[in-house]
Amino acid sequence: MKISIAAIFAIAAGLIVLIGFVYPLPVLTEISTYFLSWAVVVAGVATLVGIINLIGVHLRKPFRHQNRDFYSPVLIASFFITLVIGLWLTPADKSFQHVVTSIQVPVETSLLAILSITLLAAVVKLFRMRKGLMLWSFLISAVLFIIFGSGMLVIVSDRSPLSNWIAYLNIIPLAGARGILIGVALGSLMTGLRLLFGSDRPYDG
Amino acid sequence: MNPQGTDLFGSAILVLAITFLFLFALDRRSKRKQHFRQIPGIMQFKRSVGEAIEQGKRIHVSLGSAGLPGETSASALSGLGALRSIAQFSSLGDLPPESTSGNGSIALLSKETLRNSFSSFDSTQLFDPDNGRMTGVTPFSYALGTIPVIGQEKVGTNLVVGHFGPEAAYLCDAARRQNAFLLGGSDALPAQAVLYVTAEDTLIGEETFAAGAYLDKGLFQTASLRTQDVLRWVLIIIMVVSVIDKIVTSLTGRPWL
Repeated sequence: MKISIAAIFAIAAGLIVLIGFVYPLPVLTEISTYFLSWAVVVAGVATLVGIINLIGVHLRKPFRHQNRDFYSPVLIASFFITLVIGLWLTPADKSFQHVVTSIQVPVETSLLAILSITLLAAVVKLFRMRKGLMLWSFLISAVLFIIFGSGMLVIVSDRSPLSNWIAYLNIIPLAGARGILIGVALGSLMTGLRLLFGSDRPYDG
Repeated sequence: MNPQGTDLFGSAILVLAITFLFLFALDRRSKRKQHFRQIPGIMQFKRSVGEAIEQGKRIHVSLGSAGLPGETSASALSGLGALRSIAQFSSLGDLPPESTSGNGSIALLSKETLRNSFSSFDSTQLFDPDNGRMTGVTPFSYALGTIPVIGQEKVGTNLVVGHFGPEAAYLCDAARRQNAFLLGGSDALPAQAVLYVTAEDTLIGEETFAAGAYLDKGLFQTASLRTQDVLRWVLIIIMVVSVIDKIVTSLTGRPWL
């Protein structure tokens, strides 16, 4: 296995941060803090590079021979107007923040509203995509827990035997979610170890 | 469990994982015979990748909006592993794969992954820096920025692996409009539920992180899959034993362990 200088640095930094987590010695913790703060700075610069790349792609899009995108000039214009006003007033300016959030929040809220319709349509199409026990388990549990979560059953008093059953049933999604999260944690751990030992090296192939 | 106990348990799992990983990587038998749990979604995805390459279409990998450094970046990094394998398959086709992400650092890493994959197969002519791009900085802007990629760039197959929210439904909807296959997996519970409903096939829990290793069965990748399976059984045994312990304690009044 050919190991580059970048890989040696990445693996060494990863090992120091990991050992600092397991054995929190003051020296290791200090070095880990340095590494993490450098990573934050690099990530900030990477975001800037990503934005420049995004603008570059949209600058070329209206002039392509096929699939011309005429929304790209709108995006570029919005970007530069926001950038210039943001640099002039600074992002901490209250009126600038107010204008930006007054556009962004309603747009994202509308998108969430559209999402609910998209999901409703997807549930109808689900009958074509999936068959069998999993489909019915999913649908029945979705309907059941929508009813439980909606608060429609508040008329069931605390003393009713039904309330105990509802309490038991509410544990089921919690148990399922924990099961999935344990799986996610295991997967994250193994991905981290593959990176740490240089098996996966997205920084140098 | 108190915080000290949690740290000890976490460290024990970590040490166990490293030990098994090296044991399996050094196991010579594992090179000869490898039996893995079949994941239908990944098998279907492999078929779909082959069809897309045959039809001269592109493969799109969506890496989500998580960034580095962050707790949710592991799924995107796992997606980069899958991107490397996909780029290697795509070197046989006409169009290189396209990768989108909602974070600058992951976008840079996806460019590097594509560049290195193509150069290792002497297909550097397929590399285009715009094929690893950031399409938006917030989750919704990322999803909306990715829709034109799926719709306009001759995409035949999509792999959606990373950190998403409910906005993942927009990507699935865009893929369906193009009659393109989409395999989705996420580390976030809301996205998993949404992907189950909207995607053609779904990766649940740890399957999301196994996609890259299933596509590229290198020595360390296969060892990590085997370690993951062993650790899953270790955790199941610990949970069952602790449940029995609780039941026995509540019945007898004395702790069993």
